[in-house]
Amino acid sequence: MTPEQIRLLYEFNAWANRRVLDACAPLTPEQFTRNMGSSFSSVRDTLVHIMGGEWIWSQLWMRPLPDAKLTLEEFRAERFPDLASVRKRWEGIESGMLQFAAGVTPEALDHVIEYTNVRGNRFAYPLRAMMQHVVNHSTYHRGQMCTLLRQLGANPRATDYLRYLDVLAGNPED
Amino acid sequence: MTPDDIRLLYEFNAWANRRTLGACAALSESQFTQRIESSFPSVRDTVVHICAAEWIWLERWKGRSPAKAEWAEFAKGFTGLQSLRDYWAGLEAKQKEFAAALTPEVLARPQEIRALDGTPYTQPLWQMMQHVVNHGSYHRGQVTMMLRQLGAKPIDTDLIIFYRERAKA
Repeated sequence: MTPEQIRLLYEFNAWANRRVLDACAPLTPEQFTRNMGSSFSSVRDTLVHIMGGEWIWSQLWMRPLPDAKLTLEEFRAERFPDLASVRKRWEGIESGMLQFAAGVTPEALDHVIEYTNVRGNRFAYPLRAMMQHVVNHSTYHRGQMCTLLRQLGANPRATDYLRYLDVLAGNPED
Repeated sequence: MTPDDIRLLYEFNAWANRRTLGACAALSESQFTQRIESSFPSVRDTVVHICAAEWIWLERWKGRSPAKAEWAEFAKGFTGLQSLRDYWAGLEAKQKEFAAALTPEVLARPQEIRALDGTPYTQPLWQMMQHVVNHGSYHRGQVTMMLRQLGAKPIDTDLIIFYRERAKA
């Protein structure tokens, strides 16, 4: 992956997240937090899980302090009562990731970052591998968001990678 | 994306598909086809869609863009999980062969394919190849959710788990 390709991937990811958030706008507060038997029970919990994943991973890259104690405490779903609170928190995470992706160098992408995960295990991966993981993880849960929205009678919006490239090429967004 | 990046991504994709199909094996035949509201109406239809997309894109990259009728016909070809697994094993081998022959020049080259309705579409090969894996992950997430809703146990297919398992192997 070149820095340019990573940047494109993160711009895609931000676009896809924003489309998912937009598709949640018509939900009622009850629908937003209804337990649907998903990996993360509700629309709200799934969104907060995607956002928390993006936050914790990007923290490892942006301030690679040795053994920094990162926890997902801030991303307990009940701390986000509504869509607006999710959007608000996500905006800063998104701009931080986009800024980071825009400035990444080939050397940085190859650099191996060591960390301790929330369960206390040590791991080490090249930045490139971690950055791909995060977008793949978000895509996976965006797929679940699509199913949840359908089950709630709302209209999901397509978030295919190629759809994003179409939009970039000047084709209108649906 | 270097050829090695793409090969690794497709190795992950094949691993994730196999794990997903493995989790589906716990379903009864009726659960496998039970109607659940999602992008596609059942676990079966969702996994068949992932497979169909992988099939059609590989055909396109090899220079043949199947039209709508053939696409519709493809999806009808799978009744049970086993028939899908058997087919997919062969497709996975063809993808691997295709990926093995890639060069940086081939990956970067814009290639014209035709959409199901015949509309021409040009994109560098690496972008189309990345799209297919992203598309697979999206629908694998849906399979996980459907498995939970059916009371079955899903399996983790995170890319980071793949790296971990691969390092152990």
